[in-house]
Amino acid sequence: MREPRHINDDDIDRALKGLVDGGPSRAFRAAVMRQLAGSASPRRARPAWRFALAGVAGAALLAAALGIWSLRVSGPQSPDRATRATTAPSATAAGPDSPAARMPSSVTPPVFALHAGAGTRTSAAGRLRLPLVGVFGQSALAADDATVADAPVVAQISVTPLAAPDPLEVAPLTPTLASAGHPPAGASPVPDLLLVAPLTFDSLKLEKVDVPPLTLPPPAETDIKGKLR
Amino acid sequence: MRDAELVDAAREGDAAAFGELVERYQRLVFRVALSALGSREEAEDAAQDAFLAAYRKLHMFRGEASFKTWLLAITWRHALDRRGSVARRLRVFLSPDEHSWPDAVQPGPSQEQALVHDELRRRVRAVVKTLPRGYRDALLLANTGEHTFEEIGQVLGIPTGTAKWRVVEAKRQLKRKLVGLGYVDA
Repeated sequence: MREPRHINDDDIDRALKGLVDGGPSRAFRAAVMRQLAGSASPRRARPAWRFALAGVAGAALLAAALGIWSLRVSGPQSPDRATRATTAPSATAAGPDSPAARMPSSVTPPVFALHAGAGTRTSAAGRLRLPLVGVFGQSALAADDATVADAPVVAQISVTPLAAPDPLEVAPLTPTLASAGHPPAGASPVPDLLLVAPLTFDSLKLEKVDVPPLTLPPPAETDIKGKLR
Repeated sequence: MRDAELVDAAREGDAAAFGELVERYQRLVFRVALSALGSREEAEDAAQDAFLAAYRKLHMFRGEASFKTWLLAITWRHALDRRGSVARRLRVFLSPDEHSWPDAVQPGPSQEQALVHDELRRRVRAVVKTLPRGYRDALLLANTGEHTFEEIGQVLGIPTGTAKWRVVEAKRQLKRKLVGLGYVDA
């Protein structure tokens, strides 16, 4: 039989100390300093007020987006077209994530509706650069729908910046501006106009030109005050 | 130079000042991490993480507690994060021997005595693992010999009296279990 071992508190303390004894390797400090060299300096850490400022800016952007939204849905509507809009077939033809597919059914002619698409972002100058989609008609087509580009043009749309400080900011949109056509086969017989324009603006006026008299409702204008900063 | 002065200098971007703080506290930080993790390799990684985190958070250090206590609290949190990680649990499960408290080399007066102490260390290490985590943490922190009970309490987030009681209770349980293994209280 094995002889019992005698232990006392000192033995136990010594054994315990052995579990947490020693120190890091000799290269420890160098390793830490090497990592610190690639780390952010504490001086560069963002103070709390910067986060608060970012929050306020975010709230302002949200409010501006809501303003655009309310402008878009508050235009005059004719009851019959509003009714037809709710059953617009191409609203389902458009992809669920496309800007056009998110247009509410209450958007009806003759009001151009401007819609800030998902790609909204802030330009370096501070103004918003908005992929705009102007929809005319009961139904909407997806911006990336190939049928839009292929469809025969029945109308032209021009965009006139009212107070853009730099016309060059608007110029790039011209080639992609006019895109209008008939909806896909089986969709609403009323033609849809689709405007896809990356645009930086302070104030914007949209107007239709060359509208075929028999296929389109009367011309209309929509002014958008987009002072977004 | 005092800790507070080094902290101020480091806040202004003086890396050498922070390097001095690293030099001053690296062993302490390592031991705290070792208490939580039981692996020298992981303790060293956790200690590095803790210093980096402390450097990034220097602007948040208000001096209400000592820099040492503040640093040890950060170390303990990092060690616990590491201890609770799924990856670590998996490693421990797969190779338990590599993730236990190390055998420190403690030369004894004779070979026989060295063998006795070595066996006791192994037994103690095995029994410590079976202690409740709260007791074990307090016991190992206390046995680093670097902390007051007040500091242990601050690191663990418990009152000083509770820290003291946990250490005493952990030791009592440890001794009872050792007696159960055939040791006799001398």
